[in-house]
Amino acid sequence: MRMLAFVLMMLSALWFGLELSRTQKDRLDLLYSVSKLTDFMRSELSGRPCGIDELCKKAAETNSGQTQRFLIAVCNKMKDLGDESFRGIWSNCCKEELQYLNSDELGIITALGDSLGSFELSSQLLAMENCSKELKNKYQKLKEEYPNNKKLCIALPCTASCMILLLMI
Amino acid sequence: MNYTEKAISLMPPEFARELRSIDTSEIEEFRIRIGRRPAVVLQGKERMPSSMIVRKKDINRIIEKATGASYHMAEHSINEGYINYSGLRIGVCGRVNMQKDGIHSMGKINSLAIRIPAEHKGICSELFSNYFAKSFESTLIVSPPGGGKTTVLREMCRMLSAKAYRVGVVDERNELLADDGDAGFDLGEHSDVISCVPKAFGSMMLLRSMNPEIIAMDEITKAEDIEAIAQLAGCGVKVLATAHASGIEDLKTRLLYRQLLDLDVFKFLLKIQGQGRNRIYKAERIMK
Repeated sequence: MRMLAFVLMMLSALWFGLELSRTQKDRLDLLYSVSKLTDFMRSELSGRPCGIDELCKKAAETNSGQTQRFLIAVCNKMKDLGDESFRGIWSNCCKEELQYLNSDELGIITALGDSLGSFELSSQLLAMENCSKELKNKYQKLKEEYPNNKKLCIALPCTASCMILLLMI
Repeated sequence: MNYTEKAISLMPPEFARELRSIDTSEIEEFRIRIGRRPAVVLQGKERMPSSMIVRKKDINRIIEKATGASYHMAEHSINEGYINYSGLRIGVCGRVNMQKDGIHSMGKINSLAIRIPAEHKGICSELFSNYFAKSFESTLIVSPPGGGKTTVLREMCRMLSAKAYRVGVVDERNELLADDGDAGFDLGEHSDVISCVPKAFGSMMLLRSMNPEIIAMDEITKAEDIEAIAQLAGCGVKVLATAHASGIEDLKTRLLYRQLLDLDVFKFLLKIQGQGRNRIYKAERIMK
């Protein structure tokens, strides 16, 4: 009976650890995808300037997952422009769709909405470049930490369950 | 959605609510100025139907909506003094930042004039049948600002097209066709429209690619427009254009138009006099 409890405890701890690690991986992937998105938007705008809605539509076609959902949400809400400001639309879509990112990372991408579409092109391109740099820094840091975090995510719950087993014995 | 409704959708919400309770069908223009009450233009005169005061954020909201939150796409036209929103021409006024070779940018926009385009079929049909039914010669349409030149130009294009002339229309501000991805105003079945391009460029593009018999353009204001007209005339293309003036004497007082008249391209002057429903249309042959 104790053995069965131990096995179940170990499995759930392992599942919890893997889930935690997966969340980190998703965050890492999303950071990468969002930094690539700003690069894409920057190169599109500098090469062939187009409206922000068209830009988001194009970008949505080349993305997937939360980034794509975020872009589609921006496009859809652009129809309400006037009732809501673009800054508000962008910020709300960031909060609603880019859920894996932490508040710091969300802040970077939300801040991009303040200059996107509102200023002359060169200022927007600069804002995108800065945003991309900051996101890449965050991504790099998280990428370096990820292997250790992954180990920790699995090892910690397993160790905890072993300790509980020892206490049970 | 008609053009008036489109314009109302841009207005500050309080003003838009007030407008929905009155008859807006006769409104020719909306004038929005920071720190002032919004005005509507009826029969050429401004009226203020609301007590609300326009704030900076109201102007910013209109610009954001009109540009689709893509200021960079409208930057060139804003520097020219207008924004085109779904066929509506929004005149802008603000602080201009100059540089050596012209306007760098316009910031701190403080007033807007939203003009409602109108289509009045048949307004100059009598004049058309008297002067242009048998053959068309290059014609300059003149009136003071807000006199209805664009409306007459649109109507002339439609009637000339109905006579099976191939009319190439250079619609720099998308005011003539005023389309929003749809067919826009009726410029006739034989008309080809090139829009959102400077007149001098657009007319040459039409000349090269569409083999027009007549090229129509609104508001000649620059030396390059006159150069383009001279080239068109040299290629045997007739020109239909508009200019701000009340008559031939008025045109002669300005250097640019004196140069235009010296070209001897335009054979007829189509004058619009009066305002609103009391407009009178007259044509006269231009004597050198």
